[in-house]
Amino acid sequence: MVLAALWLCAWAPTWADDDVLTLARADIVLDSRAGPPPDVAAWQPQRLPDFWPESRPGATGVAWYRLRFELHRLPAEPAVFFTRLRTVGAVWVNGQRIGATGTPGVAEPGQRPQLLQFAPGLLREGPNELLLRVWVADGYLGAVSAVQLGERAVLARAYERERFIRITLVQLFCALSLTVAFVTLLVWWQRRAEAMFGCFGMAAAMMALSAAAQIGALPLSGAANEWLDVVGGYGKTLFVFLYVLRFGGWRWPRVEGLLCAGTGIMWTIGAVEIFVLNRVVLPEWLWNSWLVPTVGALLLSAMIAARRRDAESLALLAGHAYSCAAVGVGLFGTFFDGFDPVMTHLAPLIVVMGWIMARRFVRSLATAERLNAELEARVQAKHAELEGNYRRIEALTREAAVTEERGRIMRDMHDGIGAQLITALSLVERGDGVPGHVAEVLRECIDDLRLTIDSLEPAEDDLVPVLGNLRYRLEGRLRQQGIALEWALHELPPLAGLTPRYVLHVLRILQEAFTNILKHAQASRIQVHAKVEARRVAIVVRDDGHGFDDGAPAPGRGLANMRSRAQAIGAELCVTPSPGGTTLSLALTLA
Amino acid sequence: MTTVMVVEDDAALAARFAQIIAAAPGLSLLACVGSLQAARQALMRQTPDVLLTDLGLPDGSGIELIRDTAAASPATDILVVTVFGDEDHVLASIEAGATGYVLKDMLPTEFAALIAQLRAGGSPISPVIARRMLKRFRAAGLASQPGAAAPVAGAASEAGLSARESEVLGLIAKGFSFAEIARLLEVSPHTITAHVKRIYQKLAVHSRGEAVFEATRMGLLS
Repeated sequence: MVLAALWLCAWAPTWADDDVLTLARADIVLDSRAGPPPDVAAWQPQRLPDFWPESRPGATGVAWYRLRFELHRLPAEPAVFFTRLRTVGAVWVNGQRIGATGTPGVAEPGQRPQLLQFAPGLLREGPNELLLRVWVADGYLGAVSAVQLGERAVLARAYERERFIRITLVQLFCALSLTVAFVTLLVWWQRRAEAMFGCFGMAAAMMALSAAAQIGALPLSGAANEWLDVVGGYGKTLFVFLYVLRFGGWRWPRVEGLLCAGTGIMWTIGAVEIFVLNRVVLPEWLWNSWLVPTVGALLLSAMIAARRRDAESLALLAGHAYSCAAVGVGLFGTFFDGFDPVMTHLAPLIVVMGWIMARRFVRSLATAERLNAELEARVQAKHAELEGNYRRIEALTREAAVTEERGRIMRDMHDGIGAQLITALSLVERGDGVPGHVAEVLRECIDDLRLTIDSLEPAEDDLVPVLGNLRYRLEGRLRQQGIALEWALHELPPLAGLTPRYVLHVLRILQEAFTNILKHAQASRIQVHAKVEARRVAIVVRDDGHGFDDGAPAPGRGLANMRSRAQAIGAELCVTPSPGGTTLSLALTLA
Repeated sequence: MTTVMVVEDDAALAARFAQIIAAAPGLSLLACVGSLQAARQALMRQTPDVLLTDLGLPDGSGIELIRDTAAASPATDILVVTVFGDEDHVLASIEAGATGYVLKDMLPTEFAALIAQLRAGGSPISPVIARRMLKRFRAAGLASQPGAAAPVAGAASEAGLSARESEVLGLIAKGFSFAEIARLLEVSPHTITAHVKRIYQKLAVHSRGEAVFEATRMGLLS
């Protein structure tokens, strides 16, 4: 934007002020003397501005310009102004030396506007004469603009304006390019794969070098500065071309190699010419070989724009078109006054390239954000999938547990009820089954069925209701036999992981204990209570019967069964017979 | 003499019940039918003291019979015939208005004692049933959690359990006998049986809708 505004303002028409006299007609003589040459010297008429490569190609050395003019009104504070003076010069007015530019004997780079003020008394009404001595060092191009003479205040404004265009604007361009180059190259340094960033950064850097050389912004010797201009000029052309190639998605190793080599050769030749030979040896058309990649870049960007027809490629084409147009105009026209398009012919291009890079950068960020969002979504999807899997596994586990439980119940029924039913059946089949005996076996069978079903009731870590239920089941038979039951199981510490299997084992052990008492002990009282210890809880069943009779086989078998059941659930069974009764203690380990 | 009507479609089981009732002193068999329809007809003619019914009848569910009988003749005690471990059906029956249940394999003496207990105002209840009932009341917010204060008072206590009823139910769930509970709570065993019957009724009220039950009861009381 700023550049565009400056560009517009730079194209504004040159001022016309009554107080300013523009002197465009002069006489010239190539004469190396220090003081003004006489009128008899070989003066030749010469229009100003005078661009030496056109008027006298290859010439260097000292030249004198004589400008004669009529004045009808004298300026109060007179001054002379050169829009462009790429030389070391000195100025005489009516035979009086009024000042000089540059340092005699030191070739200076850059084409600067010059403003020289002098005493009002030097001018007179009627004919006046202004003499300009210029020295063009070897290897430099001579150039003298038209001379403007008038009020110092008016000319100072023009001088400032010219200075802005020729110096400040280029400095700005230089600084901008340098900044952009720095940032872009930093990006490229981190991401080498992004060749476009590298090309753009290098192009911007070369543009900065070139611009700095043209205005002599760096404290370098004239020769070094000149070479810097060569390096920057060819360098920027090379990198702009490479940039366009990358932009188009092309990779032409041969062309690229050739261009790089050519650029290197030009840099070397430039160095030899400037530092060693101190003169131009290469023909001008060869020095202008940079035009080939410049025009090539224009054509390539036109191809890309035709293919893509998007904002970026069109803008790039516009940038190249401007660049080439400016160069063309600069080559075929001479711009001593006002704006020199060649100086900043790449300015719009660098803006366009910068814009493209910024867009790519932003696009990369947007892509990264989108990818992040996608990744997030994918992670969530995976999460859901995992959760689903987990649920499936859980369901499978549950199913497996159910299957296992079913198997357990079947085994239990087979071993318990099944065996008892077979006993009953064989009793009946043998025909010697006393009805009472068969009924007893069947009753045992039903009891076992009850225990099995009881064990399936959710225990919720609490054994008290489970045991309570057992007690409820036994109540009737105990009452029938006139046995008093003292039940003192109020609270038990929670037993984590009370599985049906565990519960069934406990129930069967206790059922067996009660059955033994009912059958053999001839007890009148049974006490049940719990003894809570540190790591375990013991359920104690005590009766007042006559204890185990060595002659009775049933308790032995029953006891072995009980022990193996206790072992299966990690419990400890302890049966203590005594003359006053039997004490059974089932110690369950707390989790 | 306590009159008993048996509704059982299993002929063997029906015969067993009939035999037990005939053998038990103080019990007389009023009728023994095998279907819902026959039961309804029999009930239209006579009103037994105790109705003993199976749930799975060939022409319908015993639950309907329980609900109708509980509404028509509240003085009749309804017992459900069930197999062991079928607590869900027992609960459903109690909710419909049954006041107790008998197991198909019950000893004859147990059966007679149970009916005597029932007629005396007590309802038999197993620890598992007690636990289920307690859970159901708690889920409905109608029973106090252990250690908490009684949740309901006044009119609201009609369907909710009182603190004492919750306590009784909790002790039954732990396997204590009515006599032991009476001793623990320092009341008479009769009070405990009354509590239990009341709990049964409350469960029925709670599940059937208070208004219907209350209206029926009020109408009968007046």
